[in-house]
Amino acid sequence: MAIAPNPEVKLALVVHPNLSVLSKFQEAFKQAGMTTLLARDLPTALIAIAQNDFEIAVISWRVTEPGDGWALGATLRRVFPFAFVAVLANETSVPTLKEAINQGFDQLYEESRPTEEVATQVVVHFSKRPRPGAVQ
Amino acid sequence: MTTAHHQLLIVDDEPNVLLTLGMIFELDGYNVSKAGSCAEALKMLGNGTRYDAVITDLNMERQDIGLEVARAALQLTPRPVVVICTGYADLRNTQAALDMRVDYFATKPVDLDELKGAIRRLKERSTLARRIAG
Repeated sequence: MAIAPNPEVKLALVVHPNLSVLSKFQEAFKQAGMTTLLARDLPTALIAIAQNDFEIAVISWRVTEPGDGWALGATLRRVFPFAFVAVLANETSVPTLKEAINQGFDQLYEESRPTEEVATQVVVHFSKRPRPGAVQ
Repeated sequence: MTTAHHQLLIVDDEPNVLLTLGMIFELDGYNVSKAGSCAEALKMLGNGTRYDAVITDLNMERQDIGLEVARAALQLTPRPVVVICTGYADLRNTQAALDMRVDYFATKPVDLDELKGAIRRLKERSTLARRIAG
């Protein structure tokens, strides 16, 4: 795992079981000037959360089994109240949107969308969100 | 964290809902204010009272007008916990609630223990976040 060498560089976490998806996010975020840590399972994600300060996190709703990504998002929200936390969900529906709100996610993207497109949207949404002093 | 003296605003055009939720949260130690419409709620949110939490219905004077209550509440400083409580959730209003960063979205019939627990947790979280932000 690489640590961001410069405090100005945003540190992102992407948690997804698919290596190809992780690589695409890492590349897209790198182009946006971010350092990205990748996790394919919950233990790796939890260690990363314990050892780093993330400003952005993108989590699959299904890391090891369907639905486990929701709870990981709630954990991230508790640890990093000002981070931008997004979920890659199987669908956009009332239940998934409701779950996203109630678990503290900032945004939901459908996992069927092209990864590069989602990564771009994440960067845009992150840049538009209120800063900590204004949020709470 | 005690709920004593926490100011809660409940917004719903159904008098029975206002009465019931009001009684339940008052028993839980909240100081409860009630508004029966979006217009009344906006007036109350603008009068300088510091609310710790706002629970709003969506469909009142018109469909989804409760989003305006949520938006106004989210702009207050300090920002209260904002909860939408509706019997008419659809893709549009749920996506709008996520986009504006509403804290909790409950669908009627509401699980009251879950709602009370969520507000308590969210209040604790926002207090902690305010301390971190300085």
